[in-house]
Amino acid sequence: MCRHCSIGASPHHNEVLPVEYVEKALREASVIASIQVVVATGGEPTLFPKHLELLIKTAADFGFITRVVTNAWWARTLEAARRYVKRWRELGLEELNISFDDFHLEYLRLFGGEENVVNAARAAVEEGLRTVVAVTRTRETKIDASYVRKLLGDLAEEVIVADDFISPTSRASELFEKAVENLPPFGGCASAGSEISIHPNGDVAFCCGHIITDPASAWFTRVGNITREHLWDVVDRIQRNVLIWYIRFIGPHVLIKKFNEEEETKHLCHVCHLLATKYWKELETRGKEWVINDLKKEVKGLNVRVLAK
Amino acid sequence: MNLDNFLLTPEEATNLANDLIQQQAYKFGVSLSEPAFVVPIDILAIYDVAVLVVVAAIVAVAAAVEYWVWCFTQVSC
Repeated sequence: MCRHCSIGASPHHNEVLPVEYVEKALREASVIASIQVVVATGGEPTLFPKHLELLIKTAADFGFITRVVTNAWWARTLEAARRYVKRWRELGLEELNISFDDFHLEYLRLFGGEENVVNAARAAVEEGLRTVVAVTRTRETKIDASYVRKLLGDLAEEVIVADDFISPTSRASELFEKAVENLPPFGGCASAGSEISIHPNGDVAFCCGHIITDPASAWFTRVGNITREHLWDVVDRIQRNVLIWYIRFIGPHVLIKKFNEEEETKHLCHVCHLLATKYWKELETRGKEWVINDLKKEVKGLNVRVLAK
Repeated sequence: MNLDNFLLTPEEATNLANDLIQQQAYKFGVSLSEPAFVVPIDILAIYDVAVLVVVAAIVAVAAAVEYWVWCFTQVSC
């Protein structure tokens, strides 16, 4: 199993959101004007072709921008890659996001190798898809953005290559020491409240949901369940939760330093895990009013920090 | 456990958002006599609070629905 997987995806998990709830989620999202992008990710969404095709088609019919995140196992040859991408394009796919790094490559070799990434990217570019190769790194990994650009050769100018550090959650917590240096002392989480994720059991998280499968901290990002309520009700709770505002605009790592200046903060998702476990009692005791007041104080401080940049 | 203890009422949310936006916009001398959501978003974006404007207006967040499925082979994404 991929050592860097921060959400615990594995051969032992084959759960998938039932089709009826895929349709429900998309229908309900369609009345929330600012939801514009629908992303199929996982795990590996192409392993559920019927679900994936339904998702792309339904989402496109509702007018959403559609994106698939994949490891490109299906692109052993350029011909194979073209077949897959053409089919998805016909259904309405607009963006292909290929995950590729040292960790993916270990298993991608079973289905070809790094050439899969080039084939998938080429097929996507030919079909006019916005194409991204996303790299996950530690301080010791070989593959980074410049490696990928070289690999892509003539395609490099037409493909966005993005790299990020691992989130040391779930299995990737084993890599904590190799993760990265501590986060800078400011900068909120761009995902909190601006992305929501829906999981196979219907749980909705207020962010990309890296800790949603962690038994100790999953509850922290879970804000509702699509099988039991309207998506709008969940979004409404997200919008009115001052702790999510704090995480979004100031950052969970800034918050946690208020409790323990020495705490290591190597990734925002890991910090939320700590807030949900080690520091939850402290946070709960301080309560809503404390968070409101500290948020005001920190926002005031943003002026100083931005001007100092 | 859940985060419900940190929920604001709609009125609290609007008031707090306005407070925060005023702190930011004041530096540019932006008038906030208009409702929060018409404050020029470009100015606010400089201070990373653009989305807060949206929150203040109690309209939907710029959200992406992520549909999670799970890998069942040795390949994971």
